[in-house]
Amino acid sequence: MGVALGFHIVLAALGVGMPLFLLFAEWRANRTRDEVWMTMARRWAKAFGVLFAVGAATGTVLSFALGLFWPKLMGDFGGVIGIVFALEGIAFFGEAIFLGIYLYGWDRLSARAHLLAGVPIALCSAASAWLIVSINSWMNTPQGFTLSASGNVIDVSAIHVLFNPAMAEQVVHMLLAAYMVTGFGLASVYALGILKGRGGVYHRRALALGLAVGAVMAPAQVVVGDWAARFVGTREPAKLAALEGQWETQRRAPLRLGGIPNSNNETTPYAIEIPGALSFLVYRDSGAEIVGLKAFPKDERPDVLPVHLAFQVMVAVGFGLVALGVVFAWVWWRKRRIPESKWFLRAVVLSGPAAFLAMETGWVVTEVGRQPWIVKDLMRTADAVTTRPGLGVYLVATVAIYALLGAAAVWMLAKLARRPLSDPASDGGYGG
Amino acid sequence: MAYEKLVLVVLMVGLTLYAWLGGADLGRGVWELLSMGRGGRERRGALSEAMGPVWEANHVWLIFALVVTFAAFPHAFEPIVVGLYLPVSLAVLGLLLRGSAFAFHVQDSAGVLWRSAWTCVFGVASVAAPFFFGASVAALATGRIRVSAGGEVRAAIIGSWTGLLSLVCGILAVAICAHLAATYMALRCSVRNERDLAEEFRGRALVSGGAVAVFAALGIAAVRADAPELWVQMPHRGLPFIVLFAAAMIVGSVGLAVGRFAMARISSAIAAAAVLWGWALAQWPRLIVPDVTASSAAAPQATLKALVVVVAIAVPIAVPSLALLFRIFGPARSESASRPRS
Repeated sequence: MGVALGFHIVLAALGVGMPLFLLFAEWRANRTRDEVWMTMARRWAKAFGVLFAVGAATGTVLSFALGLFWPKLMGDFGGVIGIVFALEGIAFFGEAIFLGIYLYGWDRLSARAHLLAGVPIALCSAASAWLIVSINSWMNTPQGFTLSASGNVIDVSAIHVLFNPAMAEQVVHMLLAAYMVTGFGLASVYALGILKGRGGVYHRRALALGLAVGAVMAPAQVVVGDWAARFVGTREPAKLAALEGQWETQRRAPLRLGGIPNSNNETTPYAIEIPGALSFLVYRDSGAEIVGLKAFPKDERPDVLPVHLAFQVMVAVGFGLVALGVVFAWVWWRKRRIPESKWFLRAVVLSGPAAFLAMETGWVVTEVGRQPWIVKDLMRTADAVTTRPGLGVYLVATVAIYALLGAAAVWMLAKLARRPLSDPASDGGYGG
Repeated sequence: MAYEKLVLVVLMVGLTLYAWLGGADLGRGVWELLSMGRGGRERRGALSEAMGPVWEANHVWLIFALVVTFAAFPHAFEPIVVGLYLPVSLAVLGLLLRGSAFAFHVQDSAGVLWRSAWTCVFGVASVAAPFFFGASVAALATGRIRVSAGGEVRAAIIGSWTGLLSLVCGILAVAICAHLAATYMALRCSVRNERDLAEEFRGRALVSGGAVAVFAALGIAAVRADAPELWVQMPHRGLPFIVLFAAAMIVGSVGLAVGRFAMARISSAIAAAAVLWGWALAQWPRLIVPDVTASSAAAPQATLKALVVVVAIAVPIAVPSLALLFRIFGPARSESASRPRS
């Protein structure tokens, strides 16, 4: 399930981010009659078609897998979160319909109508992200229902389920992440192209667009990340303690850079500690008390090591991307051009995979950090998981199939990207 | 109780639309598989071209039906995915490979081997998905999935869905998909004046229609042997639908024979719907024979109400959008005039 989700999250993020870039390029093309923008829009549309098709397929798998892997979760809480899935289904529907029109309608619709057909795609994909993430945030802060004495869900308030406490910052964090990874991802592809000597105006412009979006989103993400962490500190103390490797409950809790938590002797050695900084970050008061992991029974603690490491990686990459954005913005401001040094381009090439890494590690933080609960304080993951035999084989098969699909999709996109720019760009749809 | 019925009707409408639209897409995959090789190149091209724009939208109906099932009937969803773990997984695997293969196999720039490999994957997955879904649905009527009062599910991993009825229904589902696809393609090609292709699909529609009739008849016999509870209802609630199905199949074959493809297309859709609705009514009020009923499986009333509200809001948005999509890319528009073939 983790693999399936981890794979889908990449496609989903691109699914949310790409329409924005597509629309921007097409809008510029319509305004300026510039062939380069048009080529960009058409080629990105084609890549987006492939990504969307695979994303829809993996999304379908996930909606079934929820039940196949965690039948108890869906049996007990299907009536609670199902309504949000239903809303998401509608958003997906809108996206699918207009995607069909958009991908195949280049020559059927006026330039203006075609551009307009793209707008619902961007809106619906963002709405989908909002709804799906709100289900995840509901698992972190469940509410909007009551349990009968026998443990059955008896009363459901869809509004309270959807607008659960953790929703706002998780959703904003994820949406920014989606635009960020798409921006850096695109920049990364074109930086590689320029390094390989294909440095025309097309590549430069695409690189600049991707980086510009990334450079704006990255610092915003730091602010939102701080907001999210403060929320976790107050509502999910065990997760905060795990992601910081904080064992003791203490005032003036330090912020740890690095460090390898050890669950046996309950310490986090090898960390650079900044005294009071954690208390300050969470409560804006360096003397505030932070609850440590030892305050929780052993069977209610998340697995500290992966959570702490994943969090460190996410934060480190995040600040790295901010720095890259600053360099880009500085050079752009001073010289009105993209930085051209080899080292800068190499860093940009890395920024794409790094951004995806940050997103995946962020997901590890929120998921593994909630363990052992699947629905916080209400249902343990172990109780929700399927009792059917052969789970191991199933997992191996899943990994193998996703690896195959991932490789095929990457190969396909690389093939699309390598086509010479002079190729007639008039073809629509997935076909090429 | 009223809300359960209402939501079930909504669910059945969703399933029917999936059978019509998604089913036709699945069927097109079947025909692509059967058209592999040099002779079928034109046919494969026409099939892919017809599917492209509507592909994702047709597929959403399955998600819709799935989501409604687990939102409204969570206590039926859990036994279904536990009891039918294997066939549902295989069907979903089919959908995953199909969705990906669809995007991969239409790429011209990618070389012959790549394309035919993914066409093959696409076709095989298009057969597997309806087969396993059909077998799974049939299993719900056979009483092989038992649920105790406490919610414990007891079902054999393989035996629960390999009974006679399941096998027949699996094949019937594939046949119905192929038939829906062939009649639509015959209509589409004839409207576009692609006479040779229309002829090819006419033949295929007749053959697959024959298969539908044979396996539907076998299915009724299998119900008697394998699903006694359903059999009891056959002469009562089931009868009108059996008559409707037979009538639609006859009208459809006449339509094919005389070249009235629109008539054949509508008839095939009616026949498919008759199977679904007749089945559902014969099984009512049980969702899983014999232990789970619509009311015992239902979510709290508030959820059902909210679902109805969501659907009521969605319909006025979704229907015009969908109508727009089908209007732009329906059978009548000729693509070759406006767009270079890719």
